[in-house]
Amino acid sequence: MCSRCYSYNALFRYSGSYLFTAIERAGAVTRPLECVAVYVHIPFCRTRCHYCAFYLETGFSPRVLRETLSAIIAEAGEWMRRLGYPRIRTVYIGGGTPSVIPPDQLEVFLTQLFKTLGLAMHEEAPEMPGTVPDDTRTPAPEEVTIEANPESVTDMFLDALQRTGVDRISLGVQSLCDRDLALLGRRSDASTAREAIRCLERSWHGRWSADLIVGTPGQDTDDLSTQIDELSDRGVEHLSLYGLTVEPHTALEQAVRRRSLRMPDRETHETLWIAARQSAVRRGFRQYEVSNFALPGAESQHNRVYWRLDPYLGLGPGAVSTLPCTVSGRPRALRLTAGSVFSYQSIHRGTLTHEIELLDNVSFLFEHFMNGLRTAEGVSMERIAKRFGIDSALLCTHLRRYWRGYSQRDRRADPSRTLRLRDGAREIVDSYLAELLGTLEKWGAAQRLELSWPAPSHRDESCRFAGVGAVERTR
Amino acid sequence: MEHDTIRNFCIIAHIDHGKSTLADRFIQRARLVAERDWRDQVLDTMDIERERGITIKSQAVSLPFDSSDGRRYHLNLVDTPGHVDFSYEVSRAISSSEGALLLIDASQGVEAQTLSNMYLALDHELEIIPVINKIDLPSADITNVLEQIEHDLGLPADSAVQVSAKTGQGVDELLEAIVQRIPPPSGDRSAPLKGLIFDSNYDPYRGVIVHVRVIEGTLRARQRLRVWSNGAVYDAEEIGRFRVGHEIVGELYAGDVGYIIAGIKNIAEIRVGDTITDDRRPTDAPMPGFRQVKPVVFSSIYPVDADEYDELARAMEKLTLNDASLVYEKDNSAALGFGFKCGFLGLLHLEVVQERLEREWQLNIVLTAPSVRYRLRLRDGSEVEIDTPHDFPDPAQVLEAWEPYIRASIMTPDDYLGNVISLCVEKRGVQKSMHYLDKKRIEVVYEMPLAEVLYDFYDKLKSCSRGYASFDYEIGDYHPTRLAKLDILVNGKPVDALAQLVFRDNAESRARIICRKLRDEIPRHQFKIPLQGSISGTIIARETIPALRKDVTAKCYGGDITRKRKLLEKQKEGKKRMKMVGDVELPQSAFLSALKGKEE
Ligand SMILES: Nc1nc2c(ncn2[C@@H]2O[C@H](COP(=O)(O)OP(=O)(O)O)[C@@H](O)[C@H]2O)c(=O)[nH]1
Ligand code: SF4
Repeated sequence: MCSRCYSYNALFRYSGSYLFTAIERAGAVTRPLECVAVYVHIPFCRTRCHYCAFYLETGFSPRVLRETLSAIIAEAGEWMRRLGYPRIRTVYIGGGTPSVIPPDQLEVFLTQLFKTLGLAMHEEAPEMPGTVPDDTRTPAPEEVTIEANPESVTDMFLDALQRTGVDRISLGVQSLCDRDLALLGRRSDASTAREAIRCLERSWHGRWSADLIVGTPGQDTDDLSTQIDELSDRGVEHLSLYGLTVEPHTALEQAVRRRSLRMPDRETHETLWIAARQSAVRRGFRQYEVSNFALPGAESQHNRVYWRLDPYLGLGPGAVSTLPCTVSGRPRALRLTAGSVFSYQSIHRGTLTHEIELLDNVSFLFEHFMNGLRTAEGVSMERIAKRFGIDSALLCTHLRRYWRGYSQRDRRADPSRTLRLRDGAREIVDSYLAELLGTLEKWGAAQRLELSWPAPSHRDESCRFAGVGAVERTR
Repeated sequence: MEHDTIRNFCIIAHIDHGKSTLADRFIQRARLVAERDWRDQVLDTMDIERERGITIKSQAVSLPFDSSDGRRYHLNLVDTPGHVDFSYEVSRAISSSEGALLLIDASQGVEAQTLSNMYLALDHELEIIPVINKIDLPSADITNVLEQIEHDLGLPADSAVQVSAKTGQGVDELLEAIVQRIPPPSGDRSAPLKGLIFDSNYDPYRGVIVHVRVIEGTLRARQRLRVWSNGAVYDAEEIGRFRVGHEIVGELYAGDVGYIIAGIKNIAEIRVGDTITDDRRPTDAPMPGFRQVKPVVFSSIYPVDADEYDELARAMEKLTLNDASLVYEKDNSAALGFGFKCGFLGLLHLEVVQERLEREWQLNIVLTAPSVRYRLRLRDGSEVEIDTPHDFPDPAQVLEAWEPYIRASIMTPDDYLGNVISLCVEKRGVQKSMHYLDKKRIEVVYEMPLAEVLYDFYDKLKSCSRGYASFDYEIGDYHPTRLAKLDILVNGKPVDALAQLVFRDNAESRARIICRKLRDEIPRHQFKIPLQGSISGTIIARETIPALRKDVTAKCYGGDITRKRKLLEKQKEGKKRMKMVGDVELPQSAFLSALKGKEE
């Protein structure tokens, strides 16, 4: 088990001024925001799953937990001040395993956090189905999600969440098959997951989503459809399907290297994936993004922020932010990536470093396609044109000429308004993207991209939740 | 200079037995090299050779040595290349010497190459001094090597000198032995000039530097010289001896080894083994044994990035300045664009050229499958020679075909004899002889097609003998064969750069291997890609690359974006190196792997 106490020291310092000093040194000035989405990284798990390469700590002490949580709150406060107390659109508390925090402590933490973020959870939140937030600032977020692992879902836990205003749970089911769970190094078996689901049925008023892993060694298509059917029968509204990948420095990698485990080959993996997708679709789920499936209206609002590349703020030691800033007076996109996000190997003794990346405009433009083409809503040309100060017709013509993948576009969408891949083609988007990148780089070099992101007024599209999956609650 | 104080000698050694190290030691002893320009192995000039441990371009050096008899001697070391591909050049260096050091690694013993080069030296009546090297090694088995010297080489064991080129132990004794046992050169200084060209190299400022051994007569500066084989005439601008650099002298006499600079621009005019003489008073007979080294292995080289063609052209030109045995001409492939068809002395020569292009010139290149030169007799009675699949005529027109054979000599511990024999049989070899060298080791001689050796012979020989067998060959005659052109079709389109000339009976298995390898190397596309091997339109092997159904990494959230973008940036760079065949993108690795015989 990994328990390197030294990184805790780092944790206490990260909310200090070092990050902001570093941003300044990079020549960037963050600016006040109208609204933002917040991700909170709770870097603790009881044990490390065999496939997991995230930055996290196991074997943490109560003191470390306490100090980390208060560091996160301090960081939240500092950011809120610097960003001019923006409205919080969505909150996502992930990890790690946020549910390792004892319920009473969790409740205190969340209450403090939400307060710091300026959220008035139970007050004037518009709870009318189908309403869209109007012009007046509302402190109520559209969605507050927390990740939980089955073994920590208890009535007490759910009650604590409900008191603080969390309204969505992402349950780390991963599989309903004991063999898979053991092989993945999960801490609980299928009966624990079923018990957790029963508990949700009993005591949870919000929505919930389940994670499932596709492509485990030995899995077959029936396994997947049975599991999806079962989850669907239990009322899950949202599914996240993940293809199992072998990450470096994981127990899984070692097992594969030692040949004690054989990963499915590429074709089997694809077959499993497609079968899983079909099962979900058969049960009425819509694949609104490559790995996300939702019943109508149950789409995750938070994830859409990422895919549309609206500003988001990451709090906690392994979080990533993408925020607007100015460099010598010109608007740019700033990405802050904690040095420890991707591999728990990379944490350095005593220092928690952030990679400060000032995205060049072409890369940022490309990211809009990279993310947007994964979604069913596609890429809005109008939005892009506005954000980058370009003529959308020009960009369309250009893309049409160079992008071979255009032939896979969804022909029902008017290409001058939306670029969208047709169903089934989104799964092979990467093979187009590499080429699209080259095209955009060439084209972008000759263009003057003027970033205006987000648009100055809070009436800007980036603060609005119209369209697919508007806040329509079915309770 | 008194000729009885001159000794001309060469070193014969199997790769890695320590020739370069010993040469260094000599030079150090002679204090010829100032501390400051000491380089590890002065004789090798090209990095790549240093790394591979072979000396391809020979260079000569002259060492002053104060013998115990109180006289100063001049020991001319004629360095020779050390690999089978260059055996002709070895033989020329041998012709320039009166003696040879036969260097044997005390822990390895006698190898096939040692043996064949020793026969060469014996043919030229050289005095041979067996030298056991690396006696400092704990694994040195001197008794065994002494026995091999007696038994395998037929030389008296007590004539062997024991040294460590590394520590310098025994080197003085060796230098004394050179003085005592190798005869001084003889030759009539007043006879008409007869010089043997044993090497040449190119200097960007001075032009070609010709390395000669004066056999008879006297070579003078400003003399008008004639090259025997082509009658070309040059004025000697400068002559001299080899030191660590060059030392200018006015005259070189019979028995001397030295160099000539004569404003020669083209290295191809100066051929190893040719004779040089006085234009006004020519010798009546040239040195025997001259033959033009002919390329026996052919392959076309293409830049991966078509924009690098000009750079490749420049590189080829530069390479041939120093390497007269490399020949090339322009070539053009539908799949790979413009490139060069090249002729090499052997597979190693090919690899050396490939590495130099990649390393020294930083070029990304693709090579087509190496081929030998076949002879065909056609229905209309004409005879043609072909060395690329592109030139293969309509099979219906071919009456008969011949391919070049080699005489391969393989030495192996008897434990592996069975494996070696079955490998040779698989490679269509015909056994010519077999005899025990000692109680444990056997030499077998096979005649086999050169084309088979090009394919995967080395690798298989090494693996079937656990690395113990050693191999040497000389080019032999042409033998009848059954030749076919194997086409490889990707998505229904033949890819010219993947076509090969093959022995008909091997075609099926070869085609299957290539298709299988391509299947593993070609990324999947949005459509299904058939891969086929065909002969005269008949499909003989088939594989399919299924269509791509999913290539996205399954999740992409806020934290994954940068990483994902970087991944795609890498992919984009990779795409630049792809070759388009119809709608299919072929990576460089597909060409490379398909042409390698080895199946991993
Ligand atoms: N221990 C030991 N190693 C040696 C000796 N002579 C050469 N070597 C090593 O053997 C390897 C091959 O030597 P090298 O001179 O490059 O061989 P070449 O290929 O015949 O020129 C090198 O690693 C040398 O350092 C020796 O006398 N003793
Ligand atoms: S997979 Fe999730 S639960 Fe498992 S160790 Fe990683 S972060 Fe923790």
